[in-house]
Amino acid sequence: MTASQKPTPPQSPKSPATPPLQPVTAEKPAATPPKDTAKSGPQSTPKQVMVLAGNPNVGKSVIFNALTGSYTTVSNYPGTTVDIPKGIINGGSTLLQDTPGVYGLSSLTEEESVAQQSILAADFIINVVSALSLERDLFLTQQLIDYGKPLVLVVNQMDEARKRHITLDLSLLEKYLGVPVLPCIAIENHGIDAIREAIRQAETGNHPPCGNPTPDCPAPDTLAQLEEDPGTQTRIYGLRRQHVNAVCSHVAAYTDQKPTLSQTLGQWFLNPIVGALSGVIILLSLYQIVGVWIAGDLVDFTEGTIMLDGVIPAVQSLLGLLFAEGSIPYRLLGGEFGVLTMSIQYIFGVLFPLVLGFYIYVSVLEDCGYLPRIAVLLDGALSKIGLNGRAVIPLIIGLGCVTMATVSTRVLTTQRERTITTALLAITVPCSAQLGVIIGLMAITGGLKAWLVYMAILFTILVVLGSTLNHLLPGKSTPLVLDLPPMRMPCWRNVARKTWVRTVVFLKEAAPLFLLGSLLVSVMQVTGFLTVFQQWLSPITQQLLHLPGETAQAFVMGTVRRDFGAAGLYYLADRLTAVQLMTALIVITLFVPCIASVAVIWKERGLKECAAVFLSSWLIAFAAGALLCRLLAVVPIL
Amino acid sequence: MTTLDQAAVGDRLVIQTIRNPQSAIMALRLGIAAGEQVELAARIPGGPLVIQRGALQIALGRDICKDIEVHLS
Repeated sequence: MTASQKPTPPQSPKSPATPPLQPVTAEKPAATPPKDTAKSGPQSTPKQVMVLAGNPNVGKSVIFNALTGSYTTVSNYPGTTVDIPKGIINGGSTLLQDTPGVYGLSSLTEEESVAQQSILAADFIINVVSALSLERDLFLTQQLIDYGKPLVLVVNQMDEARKRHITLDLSLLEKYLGVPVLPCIAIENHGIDAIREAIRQAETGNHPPCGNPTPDCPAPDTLAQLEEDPGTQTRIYGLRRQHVNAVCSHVAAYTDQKPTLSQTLGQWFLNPIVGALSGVIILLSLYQIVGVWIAGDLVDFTEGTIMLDGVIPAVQSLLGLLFAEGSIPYRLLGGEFGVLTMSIQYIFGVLFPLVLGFYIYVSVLEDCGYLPRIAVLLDGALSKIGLNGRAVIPLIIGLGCVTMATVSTRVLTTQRERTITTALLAITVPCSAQLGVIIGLMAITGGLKAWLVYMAILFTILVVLGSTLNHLLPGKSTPLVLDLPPMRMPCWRNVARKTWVRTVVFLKEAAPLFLLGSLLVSVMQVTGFLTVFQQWLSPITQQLLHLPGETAQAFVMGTVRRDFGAAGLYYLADRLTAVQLMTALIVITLFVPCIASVAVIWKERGLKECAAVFLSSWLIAFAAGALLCRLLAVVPIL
Repeated sequence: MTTLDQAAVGDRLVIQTIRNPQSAIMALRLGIAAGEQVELAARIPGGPLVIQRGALQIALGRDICKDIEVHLS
């Protein structure tokens, strides 16, 4: 059956001049293709910018890697915290940029704005869609076409579609859209060479939703502006959606079949009981993998054996050649909190293995499709504290590194949600470095019971703080709209790449702040301010929290590195009762976030919000501690 | 005619209108528009509803579901 014999799909009621949906066969000049510049060599400046665009979870990143090989860099989009991987293709003539996955070119979140700006500035676009969700994905495709961007369409996950008995007529799709359409199975590297060839044939496509050129239809360059008006936006989006659905009804056919394993699993994980059980398993394995193996065994080796026994003494003896031991420059650079000693020991000995290990774990959960299902299950509960299911991701990342998680709040839709999540992260969520030490301390003094009490207290504070902020801040939580990617075996290359990108960004974002932080503390130590501060704080700890005066030192250390505070308690542990230890651990967790987090909160959320978080963490930590030590004295659960 | 939040799992539904414009925009981008047929795949107690359309599953917060008018197909 040829295209012309197919029934005409419904037309937009608002634009009667719209021609019937017809495949366009007329010859159209291809957009100026990227020139073959094999002669110019890889060193020349790229002349053209090509952008990879597509919905989330369609395999864009795998295709990006396949096209660029290992010649990629990750950089922040100017003025934002959104990471844009870049690479050179076509022998140096073309710069290929990846973009965050988006469903359309609007700016609901920071990521969407970045994607929108990158896409609108591009010379050519490789638009990746999934064969499993053509109807959803082609909305963006048609929007790109309507905006007049030359593009090539890549239909990925063709193997998955075949497994689910979805048949697609790609040549018909090509005719309807007027752009080259290529099948691809990115994770098996099938179809990548064809993409490389076809990017020279990018075309601008057909504009049917408005039936260009009708009086009703604006030129591509004014369309983007028009779509910023909410009323016009709804109308144009409606027309575009109708058109895309009509196209899909012709090119895609679904056959009913037995649900695949992936679908059964996906359905299963939406069951609250299975969800709760899996949540417990995930938390227990997180405790074991990150808390015990990585924070314990691995960090013992990287911090103890490599850093304390090897690198740090070497650095100190080198510094000893330049400065007299005990002199101010020596203490600033190589002392207890020295820029070249403590920060290197902390960044590479402690944080790097922890963050790497934790992000492998999170990337696996994310890549197999588990995290979005947890987001769905927790949406109802999170909406009570002014958030929605999406906030699960930053909150979980916070258990790895609160600083990184604060950066990742950009996936949230509103500023209000970002404010609430940032506050919850900074105050109530312990990071993996801190958890590692805390789990170690619990093992000595209270075991699993203490661990459960600790988690229950933090959870209560999280709920109280979240509900309070939800009541205080104007507005309300936005409803969840989340597509659920199919459950699948994690693709290891994907996991490796996500982990690597996150770890690199972590090192770039957080490392300089730790350097700065340790310089600051060194200065405080050299000038004697640190001791004054501790002396000033110790009456509070004694009278308010019923703790020995020395714990004040642990609290102050906790502001530099969160685990320092907890580690400081190690030396006091044998002198503390179970109640005192629990009080101290809770106060240290709630107390001022580490210096890198403070800097990131300042950068991301502004000075006012940063100051508010900083001050309330003091207040909440001491208030909760004071209440807790009195409560635990009456209720003997420990 | 009823709203989506009152449907039962397994119901096949045709979407009539989406009342809230902001919800409509988000839904349109994901493929949910008036006239589309969907199936209710899951109801999370006190939480979102999951609708299925072809191979695609979309979770919609309870509040949005109250804004989506549907009828049984």
